Amino acid sequence: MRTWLIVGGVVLLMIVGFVFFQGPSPPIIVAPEVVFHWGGLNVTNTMFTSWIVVGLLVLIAVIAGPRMSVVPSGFSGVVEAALSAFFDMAENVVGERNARKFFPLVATIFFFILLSNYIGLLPMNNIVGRPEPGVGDKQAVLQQASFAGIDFAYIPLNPTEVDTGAGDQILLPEGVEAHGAESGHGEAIERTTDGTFSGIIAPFFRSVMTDVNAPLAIAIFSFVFVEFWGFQALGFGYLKKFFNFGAILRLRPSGLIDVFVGILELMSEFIRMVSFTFRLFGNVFAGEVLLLMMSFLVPFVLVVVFYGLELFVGLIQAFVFAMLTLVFAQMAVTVHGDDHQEEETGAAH
Amino acid sequence: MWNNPAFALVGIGSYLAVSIVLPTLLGRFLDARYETDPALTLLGLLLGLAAGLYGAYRQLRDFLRRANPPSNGRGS
Repeated sequence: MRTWLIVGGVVLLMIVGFVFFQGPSPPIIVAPEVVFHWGGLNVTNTMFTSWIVVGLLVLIAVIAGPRMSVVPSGFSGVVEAALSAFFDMAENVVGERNARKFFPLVATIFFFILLSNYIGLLPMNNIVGRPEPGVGDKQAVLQQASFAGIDFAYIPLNPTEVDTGAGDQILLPEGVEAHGAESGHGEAIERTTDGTFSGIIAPFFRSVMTDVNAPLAIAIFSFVFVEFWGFQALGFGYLKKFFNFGAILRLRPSGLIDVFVGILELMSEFIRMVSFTFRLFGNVFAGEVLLLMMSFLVPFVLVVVFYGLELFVGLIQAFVFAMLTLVFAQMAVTVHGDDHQEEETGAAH
Repeated sequence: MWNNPAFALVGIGSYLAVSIVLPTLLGRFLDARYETDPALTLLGLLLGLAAGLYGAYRQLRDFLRRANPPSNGRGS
């Protein structure tokens, strides 16, 4: 009986939300918006959020670090448990000696991506931001407010859409310069006085990995470290994997295949980096678009299901990134296994 | 689940996709730049296909080697 009441309530809430509270569809913007300027630097919202993530990680380390003891307890115990669970996993994959070498980078990647994905799921993202003029015929009507000297815009409880008419008029809040006019839209500006405006929000906070630069930066880091470890372990013999001219200099025709395989190996190092980038960016960005769209289609309840899904995706993607870095690092430090060297590398495993 | 060696294979799909698309697009870009259409696009596509197949084969081979200990992994 109670179960049916809850189910009925949920369905009713979804229907009411769908009929009465359906808002205008959110704009999907791939490039991160510039939030403020700091010196000559255009600080985008993803950068700003990533600073918060880094700050949180540093805070956790500062709080938990000095309290690490033989008998862990409290907060530092939780941190230690998470770290040692991850270390055990890394040890399982690459063995203890290599795990000690790779762990700092791999764990940093894992916890940074995990925390930024989870912070990206907090409801502060994509809701509060700088008012910006929109483009197009149909624009959302948003609310503008000011707090502690900072002008910001937010989505009202029951947002509506306005037809600006043939896309030639945009309504701007007071005190906001018309960016649209200078960027060549050539639209007439009309100011409203009741605190509402039509347009879009350039959010202050945005999930870090929805900016393609962030996964690319981590992928480059991972690439550089993998190559560095390869050189460290094998010296210049590491390059033999890519430039294998030994057989062809002895005028054996099979050497051509070696050279070709070397080119493929070299290509795969770079392709790996791009594939890292787009896997993480694609998953997180698609997740954010999914959440936005679901919450605007069916405002209540249904989006919770997708939040659960995104929690899972955030963990999986962080883990995949870290684990693949670990696996590739392991591949780089082991002697390249040609067919005649198979026994040797087999023993090293 | 996390310690499964098959976990190293999660990247194989996107690796294959990117390794075909990226060199092809690069070839197209270079074609447009040096007006050699369509030679470099085809070269990029072929190289990408080869790199994708080879890279996927290598990841699979490493996985099989780890899944089956080398004592009976002679057939890899």
